Amino acid sequence: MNEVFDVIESYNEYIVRIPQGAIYIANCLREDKLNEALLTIKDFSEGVIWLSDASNLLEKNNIDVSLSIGEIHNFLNEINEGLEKHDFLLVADLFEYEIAPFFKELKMIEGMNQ
Amino acid sequence: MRWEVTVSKSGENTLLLNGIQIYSQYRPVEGAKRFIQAEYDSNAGSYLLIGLGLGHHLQALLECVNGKEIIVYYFSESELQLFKKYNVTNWWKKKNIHLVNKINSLSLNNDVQIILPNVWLKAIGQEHPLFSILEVIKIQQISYKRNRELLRENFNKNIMLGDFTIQTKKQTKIACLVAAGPSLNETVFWLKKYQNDIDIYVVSTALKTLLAHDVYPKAVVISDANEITLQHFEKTGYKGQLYYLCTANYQSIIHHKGPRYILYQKGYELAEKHVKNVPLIDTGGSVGTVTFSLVEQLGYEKIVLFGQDLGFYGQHTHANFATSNRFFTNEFSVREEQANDGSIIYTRPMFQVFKHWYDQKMTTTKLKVFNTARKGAKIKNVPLIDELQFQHLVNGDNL
Repeated sequence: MNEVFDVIESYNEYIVRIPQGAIYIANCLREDKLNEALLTIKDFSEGVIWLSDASNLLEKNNIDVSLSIGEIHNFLNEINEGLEKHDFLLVADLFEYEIAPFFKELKMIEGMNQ
Repeated sequence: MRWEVTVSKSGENTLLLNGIQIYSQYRPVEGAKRFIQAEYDSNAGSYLLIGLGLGHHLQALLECVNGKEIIVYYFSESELQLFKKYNVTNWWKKKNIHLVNKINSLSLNNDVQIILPNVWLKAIGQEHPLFSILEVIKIQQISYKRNRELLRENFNKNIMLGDFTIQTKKQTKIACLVAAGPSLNETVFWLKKYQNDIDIYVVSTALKTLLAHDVYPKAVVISDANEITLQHFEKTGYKGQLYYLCTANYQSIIHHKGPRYILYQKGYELAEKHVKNVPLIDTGGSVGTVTFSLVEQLGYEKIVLFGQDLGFYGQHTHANFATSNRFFTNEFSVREEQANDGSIIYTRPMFQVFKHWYDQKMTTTKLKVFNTARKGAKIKNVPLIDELQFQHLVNGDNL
């Protein structure tokens, strides 16, 4: 059970940090700091994949998680499409106006729902 | 060119060119304003803005310039018509705004700031005739912006070292410029065989490759402002001549125990003001191109390029043992280029910038230039030579 608490703690800490990171990525893309942006996007992708795995684990333990995995996959697909066609402004928009607000509105996990 | 005007989430008009966003789909006016505010240099005397679009960048720039001249380049007549259609209030009809469609006929002052939103490069695509030159400008702007403070810091320390400056005099041997491209793996043996009869100028990234084959250069050249160049000399015990750009990494220079020569570059204001009667170096943006200009200024008549591949094939971007060698997997922005042997190789935007510099340089240089990189990018008017032809050159024969 301690492991579950650890995951909840990491989950909560991580989702709070995402909006700021998303704005940082958007600014890097707009200011032509492409290397910095791409490295941080890689970190972001790995982070949200971990969130998705953590959500599955928590749900198996009957903990209510409000995170929509489908939405996260949509974000990742749109990021990939934008990067593939080098449309960095589209990706910047996505981070600033979709991803940052999405995670800002996401509720933290407060406790076990039993 | 495919122009598409849509309405953004904020209700303002936004634009796509060839499917690429020129402005934000959410807040286009604010996005353009933020870009201009981040780029704007108030010390410039006038401004050249690349791309007219719907005029969002121009409008933001107009708010900053306080009456100074703005030249706006538009890519096509249909772009101009689109702009006029969506800007009927004629706010842009001012004495200090000039809309132009021909960039080569412009006479620009030295203090003009070129403002080039990266989105235009992506949207016009590599096939556009202006793509190469605009990309060169953009890459150099990004690089300068990133290193501006470091360049100044190195400059201020380096000029205090009291090192030798260069002088032009007649040279008797041929010069060999050695860079770290993958072809050096094949041609390093030529250098080994003839090293006593040639002058080898090696970029610091390739020093370890030469030493690993018991080839000892006449001089090493560094230009990078970052500490990365320290690694290039680590455990080499190199004590020969060192040529360095006045903005190169100070730590790498003071660690060197042999003779040192400082190079002042063209176009860097601090350097140009600092010296008189010293030849200025045309840098071209890479240590390889700096070395080429150095050899030219030292008074050589012939130069042979080694490992100046400006591209790569297979999976390695540089020669074995080279400090900058990277294993190529799936890097961003990889393009194709014609090689000296007629085959197709890979290249990257930075390599293309350097190749463009060489192509231009070949139209003015008095040096006779030869290339040994079979699988290197084809530089205009530079013949590929084999080992036998190299031997003839070393012997003083004309090819």
